[in-house]
Amino acid sequence: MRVETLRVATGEPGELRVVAEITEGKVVNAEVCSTTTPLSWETLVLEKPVEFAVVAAERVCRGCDASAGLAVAEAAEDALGVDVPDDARRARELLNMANVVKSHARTLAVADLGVEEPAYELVRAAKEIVRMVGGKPQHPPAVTVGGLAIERIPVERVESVAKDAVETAEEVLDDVESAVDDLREDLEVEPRERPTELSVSDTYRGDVDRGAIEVLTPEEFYRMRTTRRIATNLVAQYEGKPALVGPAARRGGAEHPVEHHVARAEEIVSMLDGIADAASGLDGSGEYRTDDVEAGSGEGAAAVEAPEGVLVVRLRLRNGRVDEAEMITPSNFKAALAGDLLPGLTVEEVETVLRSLGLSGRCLTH
Amino acid sequence: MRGLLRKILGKKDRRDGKMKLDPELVGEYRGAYLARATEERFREAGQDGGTVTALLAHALEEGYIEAAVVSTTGSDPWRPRPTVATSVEELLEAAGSKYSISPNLSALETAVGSHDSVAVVGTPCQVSAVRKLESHAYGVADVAERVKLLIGLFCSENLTYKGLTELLEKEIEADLSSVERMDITAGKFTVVTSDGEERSVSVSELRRYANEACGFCTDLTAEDADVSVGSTGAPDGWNVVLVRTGRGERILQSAVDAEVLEVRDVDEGDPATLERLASDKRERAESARCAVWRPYPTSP
Amino acid sequence: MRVALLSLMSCGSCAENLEIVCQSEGHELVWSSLRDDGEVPDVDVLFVDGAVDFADADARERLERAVSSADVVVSLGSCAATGGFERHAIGMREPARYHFTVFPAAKFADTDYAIIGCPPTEDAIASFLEALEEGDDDRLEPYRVLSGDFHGLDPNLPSPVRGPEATVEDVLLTSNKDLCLGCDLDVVERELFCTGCGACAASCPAWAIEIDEKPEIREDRCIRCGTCFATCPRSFRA
Repeated sequence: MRVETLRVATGEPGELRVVAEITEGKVVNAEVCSTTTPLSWETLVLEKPVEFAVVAAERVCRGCDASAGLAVAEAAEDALGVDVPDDARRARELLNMANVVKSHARTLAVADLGVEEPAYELVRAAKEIVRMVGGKPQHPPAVTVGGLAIERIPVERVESVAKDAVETAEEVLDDVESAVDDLREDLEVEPRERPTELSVSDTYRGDVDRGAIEVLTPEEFYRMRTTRRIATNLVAQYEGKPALVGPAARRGGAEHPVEHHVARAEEIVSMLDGIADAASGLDGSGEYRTDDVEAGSGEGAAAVEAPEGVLVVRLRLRNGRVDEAEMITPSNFKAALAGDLLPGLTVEEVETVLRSLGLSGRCLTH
Repeated sequence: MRGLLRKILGKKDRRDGKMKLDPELVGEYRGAYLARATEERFREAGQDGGTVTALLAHALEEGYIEAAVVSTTGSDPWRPRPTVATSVEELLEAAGSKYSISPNLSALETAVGSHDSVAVVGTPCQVSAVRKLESHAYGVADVAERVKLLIGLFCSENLTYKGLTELLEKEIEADLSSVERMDITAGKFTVVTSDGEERSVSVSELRRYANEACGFCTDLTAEDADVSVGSTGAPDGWNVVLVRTGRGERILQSAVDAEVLEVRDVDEGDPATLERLASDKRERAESARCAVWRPYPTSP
Repeated sequence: MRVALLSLMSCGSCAENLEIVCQSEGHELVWSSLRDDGEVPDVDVLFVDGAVDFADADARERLERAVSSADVVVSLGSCAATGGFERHAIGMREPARYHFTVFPAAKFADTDYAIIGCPPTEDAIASFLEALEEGDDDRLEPYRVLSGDFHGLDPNLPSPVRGPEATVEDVLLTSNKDLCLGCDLDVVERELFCTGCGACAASCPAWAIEIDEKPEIREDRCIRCGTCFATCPRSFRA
C-alpha cells in the first residue's frame, strides 16, 4: 500500500488534491482537499466598505459569481435592516437562475460528455441574460447592497432568450443522460449510505441554521498526515455529518456519483423555464433598488442556493465597514463527503467522480 | 445613392474627380450634402434642420435600429444626460444641441446589452471611442456587432457645465434657467432668453470656458462616424451632412427615398467656412501640443 | 490556431471566455491546465491566466516550464497582466498572518502580449487571436505594449505628446502602474486629456465609475483592473 497525492483537474479553477492510499491500483482510503493559495476573502474584506465585499465575492470563482455577490449583499441587508423592493427580489432570483444555467452549462461542456458545442451555446445564452439583468455577462456589477443598480430590464428579451435556449437545453439533457448511462456501466460503485441532502430552497434564497453548520480546520477534519500538512481549506458539516449540496441535493439526491451531471442538465431546463416565467411576471422598469441604505452597524447572514450548492455568508458591520466576515461555500460541504465516494475506484475514475460532484479548489479555499 | 442624389441635384460628385470639401480637412467621405427634416416637428425640436432626429426616427421606424444612445436634458436647465431612446417621442424629447459635456458612452453598455441594433450619437471624441471599443473590446462586448449607426456631431470644443454657467454669467449676463435657445452660427454663440432678447458672443471667447482637453483635439467633423452632421457651412435651418461609410449611405438613402429628409448640394451652403474652421481646429491643436505637457517630471 | 491555457490564481472567468472563443471561432484548445496534467504540448500560443503567489514554488515552476515551451505567451486578463483583482489576495486566512506575496503572472514570465479585462470580453480575445493569426502587427501593438514592463519605460517622452492620440508608449507614461493601469484612481489625466466621453464607465467591470462630466472612481468598488484606462480613447488610438 502506498499513499499518493494526486492533482485532480476538474475543469474548475484552483488546485484540488486527493490524498489516497492505493492498493493494487485501487483507492482504499482517500481525502479531498485544496492546495490553492487562499484568496482569503474573509480577511481581505476586513475594514473595507461593504460594497467591496460584494465585488470581491463575485471574483472568488467563476461558477457562482453572481450568487456569491448576492449572498454578501443580502447578508449586509440583513445586518443593516435594509428592505429590498419586491421587484429587486424577483430580479435577483432571475439573475441567480441565469447564473445556475451559465455555471452548469460550462461544467457540462468541459466534462467530456460530448456536449461541448450545445453546452457553450447555453453558456452564451445565460451570459446574455446575466448581462441584461446584472449589467455585465460575468461578475454582474449591478449587484449591490439595497437591490440591483439597474434602471430597466428588457423583460421580453430575457424571456425570448430563455425560451429559445430551452430546445438546446433539452438536447443537452438527452445527450448527458445517455453519456452518463455509459459512464455508469463502466463505473461500478458499491451502494453505500447516502449522505443527508442540504438545500435552502429549490430556487434561490432561504434560511439555514448556522448553528447546525460546523466548520472544521484541516487539523480537526482530516485524518491523514499528508492532507493535514498540505490542505489550505476548511471543511463544513451539517448536524455533525457530511452533507450533500448542489444540483443533486436540490432534486433529492444521487444514487450514483456520476449522476450529478444529469441533475445539472435537468436543472438547466427547469431554470430556463423559470427564467421565462419570472421575466414574464416582472415589471421592466420597476423599482430595483432602495436608496435607504445607511453605512450602519449590525450583524447579519444570508444563505443562497448557488449553482453548486448552499452558500452561506455571515457579516458583522461597523459603520458600513466589514468587521467580521465568513463565507461557507458549496465546496466546503462537498469536501467533507468527497473522500467517502472514492474507495474502490481507480485513479482515472477518481477524476470522473470528482468532476461530476463539482469541486473547485478555488471555491474550497476562497 | 450617388446616382439618385445626382438626379435630385443635377450636379457632379466625387466620381468626377471633383471633391466639394477637402478630405484632408474634413476626413474621408462619400458624399457631402445639405439636409433638413421634411417634417415640421423634427425641425422645430431639432437644432438646425432636425436632420439627426429625423434620421434616427426613420431608422427606428424602419427597424434599422431598436434604440439610440443620445443626450437628453437632465434635471438642471441645459444640463445634458445620456439616455437610451427607444421611441420617436423619446427622440423628440432629446432633440437639440446641448452645450456642455454629456458622457453619452456611459449608456452604451446598457444599450448594447439590451438591444441587437443601436445607433450612437456623439461628439467626435465619442465617435472615436466607439470605434476603439469596436476593435479593442476590453470591457464592453458586442459593440462592433450591435452598433449599426454612428452619427457624429460637428464640434469645435465642448464646455463643462460650470464653464457654460460662467460663460453666460460673465460674457452674456444671462442665467441658464432663463435661456430659451442656444446656438452657434456664423462664428457666434447666440443665446435667446425668455424675454425674447437675443445676445451673442464670438465663438473665440468660448475657448476660455471650454474643457481643457478639447485643446488637443484635431477633429471638427467626427471623421470616424458613419454620418457626420453639423450646422457649420449650412444656411439657416439646414445641416451639412457628410456620409462616410456604406451603411451610413444606405440609411441616408432610405431616409431620402421615404421623404423624411430633403437634401441639396453642399455648394448651396458655405463649404469654404466649414473647411476653414476644420483647418483652424487642426492648427489650434498643433499649438496646444507646443505647450509640451509632460506627464512626469523629467528625470534630472 | 492551436491554443493552450495555463490557469494560475484566478477565478476562471477569463478561461471560460477563452474556451467559448476557441469553440466558436474554430481555434483548437489543445491543452488546458484546468483539464489536463503534464507538459504543454506544441502550440501556437499559450495563454496565462491569473496571478502567482511568490511563496508558491510549484506554481512558479509550472509557469516557467510552460512558458519555455511556447513561442507566443499572452497574459489573459488583468490578474495575469497587471495584478488586477488578485492583487488583493492575502494568501492566508488569519489577519495575523498576512503575507502579501501575490503578483501578476507577467512578473514571473516574459509575455509577448496582454489582454486587459476582468474578464476580457469574448470579442477582445477573438479579435486578438485573429490579429495574431494574420500577423497584423499594427493591431497587435497595443497588446504588445500593455504586456511590457511599464516601469522600465523612459519617463522622458521621445517627442511632445502628438495630439489627442499619442503613441501607446507615450500615453502609458501618463499612468501610475503601481496600482493598476489607471492613474492613481484617475482613468486618465482629468483636466488635460479627459473629454468626458463616458467609455470608461461603460467598460468598468465593477461599475466603479460614476460620471457626470468626468469620471469619479468609487474606491469602494474599484478592483484595479485597468479596463477603463485601456478603453479610454485618449490612452491610445485603436
